[in-house]
Amino acid sequence: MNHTATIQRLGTGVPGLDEVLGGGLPEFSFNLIAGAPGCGKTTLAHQMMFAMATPERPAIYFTVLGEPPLKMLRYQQQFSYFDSTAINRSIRFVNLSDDTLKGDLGAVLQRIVAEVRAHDSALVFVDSFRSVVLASTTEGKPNHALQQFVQQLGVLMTSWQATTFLIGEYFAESDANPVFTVCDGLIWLRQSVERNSMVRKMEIVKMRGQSSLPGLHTFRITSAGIQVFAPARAAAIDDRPDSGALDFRLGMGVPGLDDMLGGGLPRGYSLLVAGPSGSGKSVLAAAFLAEGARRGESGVIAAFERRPNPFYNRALAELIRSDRVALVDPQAPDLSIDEIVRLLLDEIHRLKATRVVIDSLSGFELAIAPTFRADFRESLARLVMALAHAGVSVLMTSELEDRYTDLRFSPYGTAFLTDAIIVQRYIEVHSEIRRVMAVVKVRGSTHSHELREFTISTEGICIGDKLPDYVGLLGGRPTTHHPVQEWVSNPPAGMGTVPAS
Amino acid sequence: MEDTFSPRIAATLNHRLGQDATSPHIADVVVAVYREIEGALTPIVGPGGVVALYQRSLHLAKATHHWIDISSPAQTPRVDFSTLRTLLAQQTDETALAGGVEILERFSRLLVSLIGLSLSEQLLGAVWIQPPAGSPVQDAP
Repeated sequence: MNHTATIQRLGTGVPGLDEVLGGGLPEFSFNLIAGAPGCGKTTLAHQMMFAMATPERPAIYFTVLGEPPLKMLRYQQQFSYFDSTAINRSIRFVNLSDDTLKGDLGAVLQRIVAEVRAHDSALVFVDSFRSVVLASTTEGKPNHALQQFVQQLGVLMTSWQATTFLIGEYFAESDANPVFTVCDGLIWLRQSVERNSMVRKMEIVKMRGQSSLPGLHTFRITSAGIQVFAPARAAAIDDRPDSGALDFRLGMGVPGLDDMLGGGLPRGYSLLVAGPSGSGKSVLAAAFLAEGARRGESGVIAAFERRPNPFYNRALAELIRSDRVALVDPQAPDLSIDEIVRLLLDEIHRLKATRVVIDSLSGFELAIAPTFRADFRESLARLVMALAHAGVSVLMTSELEDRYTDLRFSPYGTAFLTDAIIVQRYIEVHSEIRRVMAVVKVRGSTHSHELREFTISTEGICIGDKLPDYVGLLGGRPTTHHPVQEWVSNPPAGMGTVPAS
Repeated sequence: MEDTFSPRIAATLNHRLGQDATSPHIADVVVAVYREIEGALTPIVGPGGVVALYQRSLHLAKATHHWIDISSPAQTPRVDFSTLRTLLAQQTDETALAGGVEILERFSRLLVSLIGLSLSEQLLGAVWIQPPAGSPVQDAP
């Protein structure tokens, strides 16, 4: 028999928050929601309250000296979670401004306890708690009065089996405040401003009794309320299907390319298609999705450059229209990697998709907020890992300027992250720009090493032959391969090697 | 939708006043209704919030009934209804009733404009009675 206390965890009703908290909010805990003005504290509190409160588990929301209650109610009901019918039934608002203005913390405490007892409240919110703090100090009361107040409030509320939330404006975690010590949970909301962008972040500084996810987690406030974007690793559930991946190959939808890959792209692999602008990366990506659809598979495309439309890819546009391919078209400003991963995973789960295209990494980098760009490489690794864990095969395009002096596959040094690489290049032959393609890498599999010319028509990509009469193709300006040189370099058996002049 | 409370305000006064109400009686009933509103809203918006709404409703009602001219300090701890009661009682029966209805309607519309009809209904629903079903909406007597 287990004699330890069992802590029930309450679902907060805030998408992503339960994951970040480590499984929900401990019942009867004493929590602080802190952050600067405008960072979403009251919204978070209301969203949780409307989700958690029931007639059997009623909530009481004390307004103190912060936002006037009328304005708070006016603005909060703009969110879809606000349910007017819950007011005075499962949710009760109580104004404490008069009690607080007197600066008598004892009287405030008595009023809170009396109201909680009168309504048998199981969820208690005090907004804003900083007002209580300031009211106690303006009267010249010693600080231990506040400490005593917090201590007693914590004891009384927990003994009353109430889960309590203090909402307060704190500008620095270094504030010496007794509530930091007393509280069981400390949720800190921040607004990170860099250049002209602002990103909201949440940190679970403390959550007694359970393992919350460390670090800063981005969140967004929309008309539906707050959505927290848990890290990709936490969002991923399934283990990567390593075993047998090479036994199941995906057709690329480009004749000849499957052979070059050694039989197609191994299932669950990530493929990087790198090449200069206009070389045909997006066409290849569209063919990949179209081939999946032809085989009855669904796909997802994250279009960071331009939205697929009938003018440049009729087949893909039709697949999107018929919902066989989901379009993730992130228009929101200041995106985080975790938010994009969440958008992708939601669509993957919705369509049970097996193929994902990210077009392109260059557009992806521009779409995310500046504050994340410094960590783009690490973030990309998380994204690839999360998608791999979801069991999908991923094709990412990466625009790469032809330099002809070195062979690079990605401007981010991300080539090592992917399981397979296809590189496309322009070459100049007889005053014509032509395209060549090669499979550079397929992890754990044999593949072609040929550099093959290809063309693009309304039918898609058509892979041609090698260009055996030319050398130096990757230098951009190939020269004719002379049979005499071949003979000199590899003389027939029995003849000596002729030294090069 | 904004006027939804109007027939209920009229029905409530109708119900409470009965026939041939005199202005002192009208004053008492209007103030009694206001006290119920105060009781419902004070726990939520605080006494100061109710005072502010009350004073604003008087100001708005004055636009159509110029005699509703009650000036009171901006900051008072509680609503002082005595001046309103005296003012209403001094009017003719007809004028007092029209003024009382106007003040309550203005208050209701003000609240609806701030927190919406649904929440206003949730908070003040117990104050108003429903007009008799199937009967045409009538003005208060």
